[in-house]
Amino acid sequence: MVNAIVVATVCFVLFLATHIIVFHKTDVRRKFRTMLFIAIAFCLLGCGLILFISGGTLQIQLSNTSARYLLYLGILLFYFSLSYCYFHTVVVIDRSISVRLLVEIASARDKGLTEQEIRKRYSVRGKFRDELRDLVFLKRVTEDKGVYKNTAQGQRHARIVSFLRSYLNLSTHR
Amino acid sequence: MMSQIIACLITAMICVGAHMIFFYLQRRPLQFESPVRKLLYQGKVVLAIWVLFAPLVVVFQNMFEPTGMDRVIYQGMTGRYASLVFATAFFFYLFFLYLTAYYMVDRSVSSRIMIEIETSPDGTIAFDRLSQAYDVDAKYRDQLNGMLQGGFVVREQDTYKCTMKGLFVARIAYFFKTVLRLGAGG
Repeated sequence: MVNAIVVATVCFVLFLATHIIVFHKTDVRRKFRTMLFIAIAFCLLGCGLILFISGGTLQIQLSNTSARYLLYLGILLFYFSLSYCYFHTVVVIDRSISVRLLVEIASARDKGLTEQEIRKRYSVRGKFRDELRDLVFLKRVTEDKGVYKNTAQGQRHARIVSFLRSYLNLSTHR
Repeated sequence: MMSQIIACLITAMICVGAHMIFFYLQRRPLQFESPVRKLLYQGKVVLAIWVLFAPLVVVFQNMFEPTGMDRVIYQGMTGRYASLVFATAFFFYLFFLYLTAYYMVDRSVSSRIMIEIETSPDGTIAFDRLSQAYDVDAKYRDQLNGMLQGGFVVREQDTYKCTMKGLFVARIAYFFKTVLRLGAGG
C-alpha cells in the first residue's frame, strides 16, 4: 500500500507539472480533453511503476507496527476519498450549466431545442443573481443598494484566479 | 489489503443508497436561500452518513478476512494488481481534488463576477452593468459550442439535439436531481 500511495503521489505531481507547462507554453484548444490525456498517461506510467516495483527490489520495507498504522490511514483515506468523489459528482450535476442544458434539451417535447427556446428555459441572468447571492453569503462580496463590492477575501480570490487564468492561457471570458 | 478495499467499496455503496433514501423520503423538498447553502447541507449530510457508516468497513473487513482473501491475493500475481487498483484509485482521487480547483479557475461564474468587480473603475458594480460586462450572449454561445465540441449535442438546422452520450449524461443527471431533490440547478 505504501508503494501505491508513493507512486500515485509522484505521478500526480508529474502530471501537475506537465499540465502547467503544456498549458503555459502552448495554446491548447480542447483543454479538458488534453488534461485528461495527460492524467491518463501518468496513471499508466504509475501502473507500470507499480508492476516494476512489486516485482523488483525497490519495495519499501516498513516495520509491522508502522505498516499497520499506514494501512489504517490508507484505508481511511480511501474510504473518505470515495465520499469526496461522490459529493463532487453531486455538485457537478447540480451546478453545471451544460448538464442543466442537456436535461432541458433531453426533456423537450421534440427532443430538441433552438437557441431561443434554450434561452427561455434557462436564464443566465438568473444564474448571475444566484451566484451573487452565494458570494454575499460566503462573504466574498458585499451588497449595498444593488451595488456589489469585493471584500478583502473576494479581492484576493479575483487576483489569484486572474493570474492563474493568464498563466495557464485559459479563457478570460468564462 | 484487498479485503479492506472491497469493504470500503461496499460500505460506500451503502452510504450512497442511504443518502438517496434520506432525500427521496423527505415529504417536501427543502428550501434554501441560495444554491451554495443547499450544497453545504448536502455536503454535511454526505459526511455525516459516511462517518455514521464507517464502522461497517471494519465489520465487512472482518467478514472477508477469515475467508483468506488477502492471503490468496498476496500469494499470486493478483497482489500486484491489488496495489495497482489502489494506486489508480488514489491517483484519480488526487486528480478529482485538482479538478475542483481547476474548474474554480477556468469555469467558475462566481470567480468571473469577482474579477469583473475587481477590474471595474471604482471597484463596484451594479447588476445591470455586470450583465453587460459578462456578455450573456457570449455565455450561451460558449456553453453550446462546448457541448457541440464535446459531442454531447448536435446541431440540426437551428435545433440542438442530444447525442447518445448527451442523453446518457442527461438521464443520469435527471435521476440524481429527482432522487436528491436538487431542483433544476445549473
